[in-house]
Amino acid sequence: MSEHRFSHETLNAFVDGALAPAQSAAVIAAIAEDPNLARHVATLHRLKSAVTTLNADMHLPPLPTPLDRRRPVWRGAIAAAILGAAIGGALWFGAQPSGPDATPGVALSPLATHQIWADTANPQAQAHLPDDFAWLTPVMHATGLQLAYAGDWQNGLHLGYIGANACKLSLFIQPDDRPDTALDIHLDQHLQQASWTTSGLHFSIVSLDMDTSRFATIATTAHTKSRDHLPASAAQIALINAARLPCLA
Amino acid sequence: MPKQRRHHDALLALRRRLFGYACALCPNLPNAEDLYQDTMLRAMSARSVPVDQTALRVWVFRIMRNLWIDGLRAAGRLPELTTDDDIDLQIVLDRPDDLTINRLAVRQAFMKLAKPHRDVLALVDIAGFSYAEASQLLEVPQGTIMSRISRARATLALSLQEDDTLIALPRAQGRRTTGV
Repeated sequence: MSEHRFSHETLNAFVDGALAPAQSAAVIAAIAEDPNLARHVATLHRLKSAVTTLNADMHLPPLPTPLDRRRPVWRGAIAAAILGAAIGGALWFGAQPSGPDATPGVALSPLATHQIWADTANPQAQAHLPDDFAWLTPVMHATGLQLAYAGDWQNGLHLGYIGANACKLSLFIQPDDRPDTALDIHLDQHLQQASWTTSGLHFSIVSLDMDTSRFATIATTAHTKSRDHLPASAAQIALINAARLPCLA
Repeated sequence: MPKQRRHHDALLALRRRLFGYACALCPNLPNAEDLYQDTMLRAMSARSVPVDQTALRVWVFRIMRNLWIDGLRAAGRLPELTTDDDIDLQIVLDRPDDLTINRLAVRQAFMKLAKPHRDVLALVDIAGFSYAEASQLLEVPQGTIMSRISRARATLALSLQEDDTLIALPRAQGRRTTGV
């Protein structure tokens, strides 16, 4: 029987990352000295991990649509929501969708397109990068992400990358005549987005639940390479490699 | 970026976690799909939504939870929500190393948990809420969240230990020394 001084609540909070740094340090120190406590905490980690991935293999049901007959009462509200999304998308992109990525009649945002692709993406699939973007190959190779999809999107290109640990990342490339813009990056625990314009092309990168440092490293390197088209340096490759971490979902 | 599009993008980013939470709350997949779709519908068509990302997450998960509670209430099963099993945590976790954890076993054991335990574990482990956020969502003190998480995991471990048909490894000797 473990004789450690920590309550079960405290150990669970430790596993959940909910303890203050000093408390966490005390638990870590105790774990180092007490094999029973280490096993106890390991079991809690395994239980948490098992629950976290409980529904990882579930296919997401489709979003409600106006044709969903199970809820006739909601038809008006559904139609309004879908119409709003379509109008918002059309205003944003100012273009009609094209290619297999797009839902007919609705200009989907990069995030919505990424979501739809990611929900149905085949991890075994392989795609070929168009020659114009060969400069991307060493950068993405270093990330450990494989190109699983390449399709038309908004008069441009959607590249879908999949990693070995549930990571999925989309890169969207569109013609854009506007002046070059700086890298605009948004990092949230659950949603990561980056975009920039250079040399007549607009780039958007989207991922969900990717480690923010990893995403930032990929985005900044892709941004740099899209401008200079030079081979990635050993230091850049090493940085991308070092930033590899599994995704949450 | 238009406000509505930003709102829909934020909701889309939460889709998988919302569906995971629905699966954790509901006894079967069709119910979970209905709960998920009703929640998305309400959230997408809402006129006033929180701008702050954390507040939005709490808001949309609260919509789902309230819909779930409404369903329980309509079915006359609401009292189960306040049931809190009392178990001996020390006995359950004293010999944790004989636990075999596979997804099927965990799914079945998880669905056997009391609703408050499923609720809080799903919020923290599946939806990714911090204790503080879960406390805000459930409108209970953070200490209650800690206690429920602890009891939920202990009950889950007990259920996995007890189910002979699902646990593949041999049971450890002397595990039930004091009888649970």
